[in-house]
Amino acid sequence: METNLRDTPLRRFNTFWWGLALFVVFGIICFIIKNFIQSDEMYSVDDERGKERIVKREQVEAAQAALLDYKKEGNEVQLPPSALFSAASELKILETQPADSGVPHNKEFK
Amino acid sequence: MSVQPIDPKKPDLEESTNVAEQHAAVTRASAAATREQQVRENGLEPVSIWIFIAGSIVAIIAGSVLFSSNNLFGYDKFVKAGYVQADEVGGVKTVPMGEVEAVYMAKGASSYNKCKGCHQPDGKGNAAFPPLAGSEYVIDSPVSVLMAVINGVEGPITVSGKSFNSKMDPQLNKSTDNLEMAALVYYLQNSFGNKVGKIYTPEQMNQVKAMVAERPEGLCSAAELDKFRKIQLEGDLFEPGTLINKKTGEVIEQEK
Amino acid sequence: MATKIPNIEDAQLRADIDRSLRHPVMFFFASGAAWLAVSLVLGIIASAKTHSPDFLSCCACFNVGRTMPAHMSTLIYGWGAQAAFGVIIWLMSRLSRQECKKSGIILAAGHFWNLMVAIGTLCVLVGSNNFMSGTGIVWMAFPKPIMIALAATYFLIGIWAVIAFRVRRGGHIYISQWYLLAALFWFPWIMISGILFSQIYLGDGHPLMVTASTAWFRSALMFLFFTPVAAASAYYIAPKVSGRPVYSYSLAIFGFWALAIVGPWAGMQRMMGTPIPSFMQFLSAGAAVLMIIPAIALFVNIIKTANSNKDAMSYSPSLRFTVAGAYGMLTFTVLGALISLPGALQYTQFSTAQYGLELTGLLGFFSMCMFGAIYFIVPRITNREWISASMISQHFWLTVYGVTFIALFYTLLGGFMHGYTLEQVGEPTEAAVGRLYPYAIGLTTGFVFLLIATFMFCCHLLLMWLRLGRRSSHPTLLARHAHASPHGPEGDLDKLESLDSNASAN
Repeated sequence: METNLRDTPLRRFNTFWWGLALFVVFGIICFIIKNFIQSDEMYSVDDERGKERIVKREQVEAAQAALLDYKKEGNEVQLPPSALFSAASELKILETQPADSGVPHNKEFK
Repeated sequence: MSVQPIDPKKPDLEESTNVAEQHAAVTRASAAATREQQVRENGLEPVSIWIFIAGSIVAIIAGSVLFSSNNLFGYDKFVKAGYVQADEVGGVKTVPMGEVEAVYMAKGASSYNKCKGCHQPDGKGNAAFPPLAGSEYVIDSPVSVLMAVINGVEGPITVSGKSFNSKMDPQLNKSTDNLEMAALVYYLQNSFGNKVGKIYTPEQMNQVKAMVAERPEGLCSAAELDKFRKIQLEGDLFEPGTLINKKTGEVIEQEK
Repeated sequence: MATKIPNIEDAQLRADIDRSLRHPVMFFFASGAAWLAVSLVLGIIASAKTHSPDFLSCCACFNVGRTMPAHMSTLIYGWGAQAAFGVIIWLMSRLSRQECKKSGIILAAGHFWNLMVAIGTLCVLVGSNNFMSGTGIVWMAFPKPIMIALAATYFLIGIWAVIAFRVRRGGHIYISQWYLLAALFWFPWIMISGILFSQIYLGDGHPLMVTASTAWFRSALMFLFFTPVAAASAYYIAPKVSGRPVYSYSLAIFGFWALAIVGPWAGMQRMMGTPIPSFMQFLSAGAAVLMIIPAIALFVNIIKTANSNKDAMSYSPSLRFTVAGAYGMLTFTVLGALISLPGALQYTQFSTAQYGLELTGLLGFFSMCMFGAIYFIVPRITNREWISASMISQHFWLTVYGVTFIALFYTLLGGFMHGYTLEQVGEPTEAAVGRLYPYAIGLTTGFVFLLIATFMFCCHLLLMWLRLGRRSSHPTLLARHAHASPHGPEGDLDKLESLDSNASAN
């Protein structure tokens, strides 16, 4: 076989790294051009409509939370749900009482 | 498979190499590769004229495709805003149309769906919200009802002898479609027992929109609505039975 | 004329090249064929759902929304890419007369590619909802990390072929090498552009950019990767097997440049009517029509070359598949042009014609050429001959039937019927799907034919991979010689070379 003058380690090395460089550079150029050309404001209809909805939802939630606030009218007191159990335990209205009838399936259970 | 490569410098007379054996060994080991032929691409047949003709026909068709869009750069002439596709009945494009009263009633009824919650499906309202049935603000003039719906109402108001004091937020705005407004007016004025019968055109709604632009921002009060009750819209009304386009509200000329 | 006397040095070199490439190429072909079978099974499930929605409705993983992207993705990345890689590295090494020293790396990269495809398919079928979820983008349905990994793995496979070309032993550059080199560069360009603009910029890019990029990606992958690889294989097999030179060299070069110039423009005709600049849509429609020209060049060259040796046509499996692939290319481009005419686009733009066209191209053109190449290459790298000629023949005819069903029923007839019904403004969409019912059954039938054919092919290939093929110096041919046993003429090899030219086929 005739000797292949083209087959040198340098040529192989070169081809490998130039090949890699070509497409890495292509990717970088794409990235740069895209970010350069694209305008900063991106209007998305979904996002704009969403903003209106979010404002409305926050208003509704604030109104509903306001209904659950602590209120006192004369003898009646309205507590927010999170404070219910601590107040009830203070007032001792949720303490467990011993049951009269005993353990179920017991002879004494009526 | 280790076959010693044939050394061209060694003549056949040299004892150590038996060329026939070497050849046979290679041939046996790689029979498939041995029987392969060389690839040659020096075919010089002339390209047939039919290929050129076929290619030209294809190129002409492609060119006509390319230039069938009259305008290659820019899509303003290509994309029409507000385009409504026409129905196709039996291959002939028809326009969705109907008689104006039917179109208005249907459209107004669907607009009224969101009003049902307060004004009730029968238009009689309840203790908090005024009725639309027999309401002078609805019957006397289209301007008062439209201004109420567009701007909203607040404050004490007396409707059909009863007084109410609530707030209605604006339900439409000044950029609502004219057709929708005209349809809503017709529906309110001709449902729940009302029988006004006047068919307003979508163009007349522009007068209402002008009035909206003139007045200051804010909800209407009863006094303002009373003023509006006395204003009528100018211009010709639709004749009953006019055909209009269901989607755009344009009048369709009927061939006599 | 054909060389009758084997040049021993050439044979030795060819054998060395084949031996060095044995493992990666065989692996690519075998795993590719297995993925083809998988993709056809998924395709059957997906198309069965169109006409029998209750088929396999037990599991969510069999829904059309999952099996259809999985089917296309495995077809493209599992079968198409791997078959292409196998052919590229073998063909480029052979044509550059270079042994491949990096077979180990290619084999490892091939395993990694398979792993990525498997993970991607699972992600699509399972329907995950995190960063590893299927993207839903047609032809790029694998999750984003998988697509990036695939693009990176390709580099480790393709660069060696480029190096082999650069250090080639001197001499003329054959037309196949043009096509292969072009495909080697186009593939990463298409993948990088597609992935970058459709998946990585998904969040902060304009949604139209994503749609346009994916429409272009589909067409470019078909025209600029699968087509050149299939063309390269056809331009190699046809003269090799028939023993005649390529019909017209200038036409071959013209066909290559026509493909290079016209190919990248096609694709956006699917976006006709969308608010992208109208020149893009119409240029693409024009390019889709113009693609017939390189197809004609390829078709004429291959058919004329093969026909100049009619005997070879009748009994060489690789030549038969390659010629069928040439017919497939012409069908594919003509159908594509028909569908992309603006007058027809109003019917075909959203109908099944697009999917049917892609199947026709992938299965009818690319796969046929790849089968031809595989039937040629595998005996050389495994040193065994194919076991059963009748299996090859059945593979051929069942594939032809299957592709004909798909092209006729789903692309042409069904596509236009579906599109016409969709166009009727008054009718609901269910009517269009109802009209599609018989054509969907036609598609499923076509897929079943193809699955049987592929199953046979897979078994055959697996046996060859396990080196259980025939140990013989006579090739497995499709037709019996009048005088001899199916395994070829008996007797001494040297004496047989003086017999008729039949022995030099394949």
